[in-house]
Amino acid sequence: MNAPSAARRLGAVLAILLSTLGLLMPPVAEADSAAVGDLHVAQTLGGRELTVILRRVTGVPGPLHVDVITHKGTAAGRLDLAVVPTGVSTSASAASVSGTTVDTAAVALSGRPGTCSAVLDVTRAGPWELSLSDGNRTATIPFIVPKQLTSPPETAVYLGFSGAGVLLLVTLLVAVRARRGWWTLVPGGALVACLAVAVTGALLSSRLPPPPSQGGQVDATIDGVDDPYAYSGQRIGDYSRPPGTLLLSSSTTRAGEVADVRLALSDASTGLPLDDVVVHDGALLHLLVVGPSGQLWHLHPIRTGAGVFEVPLSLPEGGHYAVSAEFARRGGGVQQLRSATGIDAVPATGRTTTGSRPEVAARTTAGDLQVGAGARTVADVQVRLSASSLVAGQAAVLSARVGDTATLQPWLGMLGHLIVVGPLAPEAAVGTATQNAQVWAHSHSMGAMPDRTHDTSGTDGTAHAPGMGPHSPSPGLDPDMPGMGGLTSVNGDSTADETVAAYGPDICFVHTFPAPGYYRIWIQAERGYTVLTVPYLLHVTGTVEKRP
Amino acid sequence: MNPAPAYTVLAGTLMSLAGIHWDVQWHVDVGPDTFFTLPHLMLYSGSAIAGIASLVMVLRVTSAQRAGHPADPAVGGSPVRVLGGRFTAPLGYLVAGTGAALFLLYGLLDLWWHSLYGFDAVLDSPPHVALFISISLTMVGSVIVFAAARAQPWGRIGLVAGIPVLIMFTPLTTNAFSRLGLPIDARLAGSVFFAVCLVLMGAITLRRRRVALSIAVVLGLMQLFLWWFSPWAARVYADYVGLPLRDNLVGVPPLLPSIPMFMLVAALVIEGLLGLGRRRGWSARWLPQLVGAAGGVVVSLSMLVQMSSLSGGAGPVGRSAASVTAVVSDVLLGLTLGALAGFLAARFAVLLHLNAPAADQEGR
Amino acid sequence: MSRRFLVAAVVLAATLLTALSVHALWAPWPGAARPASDAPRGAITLTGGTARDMVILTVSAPVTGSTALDVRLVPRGGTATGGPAPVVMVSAALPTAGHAVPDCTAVRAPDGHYHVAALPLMMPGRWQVLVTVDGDGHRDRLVFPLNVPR
Repeated sequence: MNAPSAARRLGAVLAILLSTLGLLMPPVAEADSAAVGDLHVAQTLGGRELTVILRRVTGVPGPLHVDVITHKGTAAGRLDLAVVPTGVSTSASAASVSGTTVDTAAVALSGRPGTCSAVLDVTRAGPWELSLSDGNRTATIPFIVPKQLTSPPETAVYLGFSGAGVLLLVTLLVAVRARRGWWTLVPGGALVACLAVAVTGALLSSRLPPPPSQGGQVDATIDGVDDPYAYSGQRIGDYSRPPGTLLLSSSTTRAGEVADVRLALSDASTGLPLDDVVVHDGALLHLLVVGPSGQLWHLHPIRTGAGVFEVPLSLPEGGHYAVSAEFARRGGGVQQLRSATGIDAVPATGRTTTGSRPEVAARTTAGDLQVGAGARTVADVQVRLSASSLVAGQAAVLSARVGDTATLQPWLGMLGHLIVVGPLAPEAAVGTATQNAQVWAHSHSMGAMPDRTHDTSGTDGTAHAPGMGPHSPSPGLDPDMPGMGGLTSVNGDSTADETVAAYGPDICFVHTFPAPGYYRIWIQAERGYTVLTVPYLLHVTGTVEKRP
Repeated sequence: MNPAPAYTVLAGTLMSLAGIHWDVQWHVDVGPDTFFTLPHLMLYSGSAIAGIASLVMVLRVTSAQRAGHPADPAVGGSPVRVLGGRFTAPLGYLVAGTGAALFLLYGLLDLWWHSLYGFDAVLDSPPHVALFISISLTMVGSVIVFAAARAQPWGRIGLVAGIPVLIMFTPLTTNAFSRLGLPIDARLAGSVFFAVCLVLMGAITLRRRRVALSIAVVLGLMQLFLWWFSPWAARVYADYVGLPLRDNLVGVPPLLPSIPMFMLVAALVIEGLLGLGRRRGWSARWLPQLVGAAGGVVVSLSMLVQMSSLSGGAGPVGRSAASVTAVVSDVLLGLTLGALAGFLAARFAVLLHLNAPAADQEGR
Repeated sequence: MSRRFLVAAVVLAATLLTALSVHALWAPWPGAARPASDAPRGAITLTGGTARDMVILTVSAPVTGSTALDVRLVPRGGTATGGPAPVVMVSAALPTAGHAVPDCTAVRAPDGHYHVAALPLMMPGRWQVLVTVDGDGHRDRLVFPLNVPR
C-alpha cells in the first residue's frame, strides 16, 4: 500500500460517486397522500348531517383524533364512538383483538355549528372501523391506520451507509494493526461496495413504484399494512372491480312520514354484497334524490352492514322521487348507479299534493323557476349565476357568486357542487322527468376561473349585478390559483376542512351538455355551516340553431 | 506534502453543510420525505467522502511506517497509537474519520427513530443530534489537520476555510438544548460562544494579522451562498421530482437566522483588540478573555438585531427585541460566554500547537 | 495471533454485513408466513375475529386448484356457551375478476374446528375467503384476503 495507490483508490471512489450521480434520470415521486392525510367522511346520521374527520394517525399505539363537524340546525345530543380493529393476520397475536371494541369515547354535540372532538386510542396499524351511534342508529366507517414505511431501497441506503461506517472503523483498525498492508484491501473493498449499495439505493428510492395501496387498491390486512412491500402480491396494472347493483328496500313510501331508505349494494358479477366501498369525495356513498317539484337531497347514508347503507328520508309530498347513488369501489373508479325504480310517495291523507310547500331551502317548484341564470336568494344568501355558451357539445361555463364575501367553506372537499339533470320537459313533474332523463351529472368547482373576468353577459344574459363587473375579484392574488390554497393535498399534507371559511365567493363550473334541451341544475355550496342548494332551469341550444 | 486529502476532507464537510441546509429547506418548502432524497444523499456522501479521504491518509501514513519512515506530525497532526496498534495514525485524520464513521452508523439509528415516530420527527431528535455531533467531529478533525499544516500556505488557507464550516454547523447542535427550558436561549448562547471561540482560536493559532477578519469574510460568503443555494436547490429538486412546493413559504432559509451575520464587526473588534494588546504588551494571561468578552458582546447584540429583523420583531425566545432587559441580558450573556470562549480559545490554540510542534517555528 | 484475530474480525464483519443486506433486500414471499403447527406444509393460517369469536382460517394449499380449509372458532369468553354449535359457511370470491365459488357448509369437528374438503380457487389473484358464522342469534361475516400467487 503506497501513496499513489491510495490516491487512485480515493479517485476511484469519487468517480463512482460522481458517475452514479450522473446517472440520475427524472424520477416520479409519488407521495401516497391518501394513506397519510386526514379522512373526511360525511354522514347523514338520523336527522343530523355530520362531517366526521379522522385525523391522521402518526404513530401506533397512539391517539386517533376524531372531529365531528356539525352544521346549522344540527340537533344537540350525544354521539358514542368506538373503534374496532377488523384486520386479519398470519400472526394470531396481531389479530387477537380483531372484531372487538378497543376504545370508546363520547362526543357531546352542542347544537351550535362547529367542531366537536374526541380522542380514541388505536393499538396497531391495519384496517379498522369507527362506529358512531346516536342511540338509534349506528354508522360504521372503515379506515386504515397506516404505518410508517421504509421502502426496501431506502433500507438498503441506510444499511449501506452504516455498513460503510463500520468498515471505515474496521479499516482504520486493520491499517494500524496489520503487518501487511494488503489486509486493508479487504475491509476497504467492502467499504466501497457498501457505498455503492447505498448510493444505488438512494438514487433508486424515488423511482421505484410504490406497492398497491392497502385498502385503496387491494383488500387490507394487518400484515399488508405493516409491510405492503412484502405483501404486495402480483403487480397488476388494473385493480378495478366490477360495477355494483343498487337495490332500494322499498319503492313506495308515505309522504310526510320519516322512512328509512335502505340501499343494498351488490357486486354486478358475483351478486355478493358489495362491501369494499372506499371514501370518495368526502363520503362513502353520495345519495341524490330529486323530488316531484324540484327538490334535491344530497345525503350520505350510513353504512350499517356489509354493502348496506341507510338514511332516513321524509318525503314532503306525494309523487315520484328519482334516486341515484355515487360511490367508489376499492381498486378505483367512481360509479353512479341510478335506481331503476326510484321512490313513489303516496300522498298523506288529508293533504293535497300541490298545496304543500314545506318551508325548506332548496325546495322549489317548477313554477318558481324562470328559465336561465340569474339571482336567487336561498337561506338569506344571494346567489348570482351567469352562464355562457349554453350550446350542446360545447363547454358551458357556469359562474356563481355565492354571497359577497370570501367565506365559503369546502363541503365534501370541494367549494361547489353542480348537479345536472336533463334534457327534460320544463313543466313536467321533476321527479318523474329525472327518472327518465338521459343525463344525471355531478360536477365540482374548486373556485373561480383563473385569468377570467366574470362573464355576466352570457347567452342567457340576465343580471349585471353590482360587484360582478369585469374586474377580477382579487387582483393582488396569484392569478393562476385564485383561492384554492389548502384544498388540494400537497405532499401528504391534509386538506382544509369545513372550519376554513376562506374561499369564494366565486365558484365556477365547466360542463359540456351533451344534447340540447332544458336542464335542471342545482348548485351547492356551504356558507356559515349551511349547505345552500340553488336550483336553476337552463336551456341548452343545439349547434344547428346557432347558424343563421 | 500533498494538500489534496486535507481539502477533500474539507470538501466533504462543506458538502454535509450544504446538504443539511438543503435538506432543512426541503422539509420546510416541500414536506415530509417519501424516499431517500438528494439532500440526504449529499449529506451522507459528504461524510463518506471525508471519511474515505481520512482513511486514505491513515493508510498512507501506516504504509509509510511499514516501509520504515517515521510519522510526520505535520501530516494531519501528532501520531496516535490506536487500541494498542502496531502503527500510528495522525490525530486529525483519525478524528475526522471516526466522526464520519459515526455519522454513517447513526444513520441507522435515525432510520429506526423515524420508523418509530414517523416523518414528523423534529430537527433535534436524539439521532439527529448524534448525527450533528458526528459531523462536527469530522469538522474538528479537518481543523486539526489544517492547524498541523499551518507552516504551509495551504494549511493556513484551509484553517481559515475550515473554521467557518464549524461555526456554521454549531447552531444545529446547540438547537437541541432549546427544548430543555434553559433560562437563556441555547441557540443564541451557542452562536456567541462558538463563533467567538473558534474565530479567536484561529487567530491565536495562526498568530497572524487579519486571520479573524478572513474567517469572518469566509463565514459571510458561505452564508450568502447558502442563502441563495438552499431555496434554489429545494425548488429545483422539487421541480425535478415533480412535487409541489407548499404555499405558505417564507423567504428566509430556516437555518441561517441563528448563524451570526455580523461576524465581520465582531472580527474587527477582535482583530483590533488583539493587535492593540500585542502592541501594548498586555498580559497574555488576560488578553484572550478580554478580547473574547468584547467579541461576545458584539456578536450577542448583533444577534439581537439579526433575529428581530429576520423573524419579524420577536426576539430569539419570543420576547420583544427592543426591551431594555433583553439588551442587558444579551450583553451579560455576551460578556460571560465571550470571556469563557476567549479563555478556551487560547487553550485550544495551545493544543493545536502542541499537536504539531515541529511546524511551529516556521509558522511564526 | 493478531493476524488470526484480524481475519476473524474481518470475516465476522463481512458475514454480518452480508446477512443484513440480504435481510434488507430480500422481501419475503407473501405465503412464507409460518403456518400453525398442525397445518400441512405450505398452508397459510390467517387469524381474524368477530365480537364473539376469534376465527382462525387455515388454507391448506393457497395455490390455484382445489384446497382444503379449516376454520377454528375460539370463543372470546374462554369457553363456548351451552347453546347449539354455530353453523359455518365458507365461500370465496375473486373481486377483480368477478368470480365466486359455491357456498360450502363446513363440517364440524371437535375443538371448534370446521372443515371444508375442497374449495375451488380457479385462478391466481387476490382472493377473498368469505366465512359466515351463524349462531346464537347472530350472523357474522368475515372476509379473509388471500393472495393466490400461482
